Amino acid sequence: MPEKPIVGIIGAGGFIGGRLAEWLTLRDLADVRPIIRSFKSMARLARFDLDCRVADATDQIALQKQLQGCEILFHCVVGGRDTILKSAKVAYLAAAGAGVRRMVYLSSAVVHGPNPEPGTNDDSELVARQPFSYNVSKVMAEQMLRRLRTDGKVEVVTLRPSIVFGPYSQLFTVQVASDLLNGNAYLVDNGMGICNSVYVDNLVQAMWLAAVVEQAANQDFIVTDGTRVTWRDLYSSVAEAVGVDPECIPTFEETSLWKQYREQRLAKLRSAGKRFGWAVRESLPPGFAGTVRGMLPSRLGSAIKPWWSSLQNPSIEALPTPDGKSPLPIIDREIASWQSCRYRLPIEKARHLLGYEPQVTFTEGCRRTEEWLRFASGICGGWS
Amino acid sequence: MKSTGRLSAALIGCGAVSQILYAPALLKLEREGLMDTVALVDTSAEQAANIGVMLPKARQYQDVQKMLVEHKPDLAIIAAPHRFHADLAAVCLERGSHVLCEKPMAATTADCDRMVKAADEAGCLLAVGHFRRFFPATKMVKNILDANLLGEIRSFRFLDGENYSWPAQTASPFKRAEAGGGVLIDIGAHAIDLLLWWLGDAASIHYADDAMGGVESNCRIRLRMDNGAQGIVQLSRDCPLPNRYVIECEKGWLAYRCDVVDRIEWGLCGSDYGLNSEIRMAAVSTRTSMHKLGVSVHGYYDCFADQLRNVAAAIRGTDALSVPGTEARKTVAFIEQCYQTRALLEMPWLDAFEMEHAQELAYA
Repeated sequence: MPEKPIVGIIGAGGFIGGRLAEWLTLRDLADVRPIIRSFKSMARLARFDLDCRVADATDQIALQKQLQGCEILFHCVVGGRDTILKSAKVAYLAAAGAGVRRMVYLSSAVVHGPNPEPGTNDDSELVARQPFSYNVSKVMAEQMLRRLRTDGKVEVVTLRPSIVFGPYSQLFTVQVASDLLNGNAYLVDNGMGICNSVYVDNLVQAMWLAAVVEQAANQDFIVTDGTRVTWRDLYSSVAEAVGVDPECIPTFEETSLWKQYREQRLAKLRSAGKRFGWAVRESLPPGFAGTVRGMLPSRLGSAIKPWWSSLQNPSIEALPTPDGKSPLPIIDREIASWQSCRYRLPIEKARHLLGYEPQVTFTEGCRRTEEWLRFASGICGGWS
Repeated sequence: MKSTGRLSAALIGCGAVSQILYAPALLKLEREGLMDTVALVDTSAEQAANIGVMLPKARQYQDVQKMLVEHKPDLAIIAAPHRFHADLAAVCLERGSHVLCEKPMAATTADCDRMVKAADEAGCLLAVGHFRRFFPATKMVKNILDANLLGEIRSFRFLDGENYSWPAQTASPFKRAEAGGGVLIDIGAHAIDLLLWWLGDAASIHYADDAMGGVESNCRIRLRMDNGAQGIVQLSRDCPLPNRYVIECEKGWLAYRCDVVDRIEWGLCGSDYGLNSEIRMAAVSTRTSMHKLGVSVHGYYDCFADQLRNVAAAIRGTDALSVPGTEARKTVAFIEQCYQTRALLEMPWLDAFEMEHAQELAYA
């Protein structure tokens, strides 16, 4: 490998891909080639003099053209199920076509389930049956890459970070800050669930090691900060940054939460069933009630739509407070399931094989995040 | 000055701003019988054709000189990347066309001076597209400050930013050689224009941004104005800031929300209350001779068309230009001074090693 490899980053316009490009450039470790979907994704990357290229991550020919000359490809694409699956496959094939030596695929610890079984490690069987589409898509993408890499054309290293926080993190920094300020934040079981957090700089350090450490080839790694961090720890740090008293964050018992969720879902189903019956009746032409003959498909479709949507909605409605006044936050089922985690994921394999040792402590990561939140003080409507 | 008849216009540069703002406004003016678009010019035939769908009567060109051989438009609208503004304005002015140039007027004051000189020599008008000045909200702020209703201006804080979403057709807005800079010369041109229009000239400027070999995505300016007011302007292409300009005065405060054309927020010092006031046209009752609220003011896109109406009225000699080149030059001079005195933005979320290398890249 030459002293400074050319590395392609697809998804470089996003939170992790953007920080990776910045981290590598500020350390002068590589010639970074961000590959982005459109010019408008260049704003943050354009602070540096980088060789930005535009290509759709699901277009193999376009991607292969932009990967010519790259030794390493980092896949940091985010999106829905189709994007996750298609971009992973296309990236591998394009990398193979362009002669890329290694592809570092950014997966997620959710492949082990939102609340992994005790004893889960990097080599545990992936949990294919899960309630959330994103998790299942990540499992499928990993399985597909395992099949693809058997052709031996490109080495694939898969990293599975869990809760990635830090400057520019929408989900676990900006959104948490916004929820705290708007009264929509909450904790499950007093926030005592294990967060398995990883500060973004530690993750990009692991990504770099995954790219250059020889024995990492075709291995999968869980990546966290390696310390025990609870959800209360994470929320408290953001709360303090935005001037919210962490003690005021409402908390729910996990058991009552799921009971409540089940009850609301049942109530929704009952109500939806009634609406469905009404919808069927309403869709029949006058004089033909009680029969299905003459049913108008388009009218039926539009009548069923709200019923179907209500079943798809994964959130619990706002719960009334005991005094019946201000409503409590809407509980998102996915967030609640993350917060219910009781298992600290191990990083021994990453330590042993990659030589990964998190450089930024949780406390330092929180301090840096706080500094950035103060700078970007308008993100949540302006608190300074 | 052309006092009667429909004016003719040529649109030079058919990128995103022309597609989103100029073409609909020109179509509106065509329907009003005020102005006909006779030519569309872009080096990309495809871009010109895209606008041609909206303005089918206009002929399409890929070369300005060729267009100017066949036409002598009353108004040349220059909406090309701003490194081309001065040259394009000069050839159009020499041909005798009045010019409306998209903001920023140019990348340098030297180019601005060249444009102003060309306009003077040709006896033509040179207007610049700082169209936020045509919002009723920004005019109302100007009226209140000029009338000294809230007393002396003490401080201000202009926060303007969002994740970049402009449908850029090329990498041009992100290349220093082509754009002249980043967020400051881009959306900052609007913010600085309003700052100088409302508060007057700046006495001291401390500017910092986060460019590290490229163009800035964030910048922060601490400044003191000639009138003694002190404040901050912060701009971003990657953080959704509150997009609110607040001015604190001796007796009260007022705030403008970016791109909200028909409202201002204001209040009095010491009062528990603030107002979110809707702006309407003022009218006088014919029956009582007392003031009353009239019809709604123009919306965002109509304000953009108002800019063209102002230029058309100035060409006809019935109104003065709202933003002449000499006025817009102040904004370019301010931006130029910022870039000449720039420091690297403090970014305490980076570690010491990174900041050290960032300094090297920033000042290389």
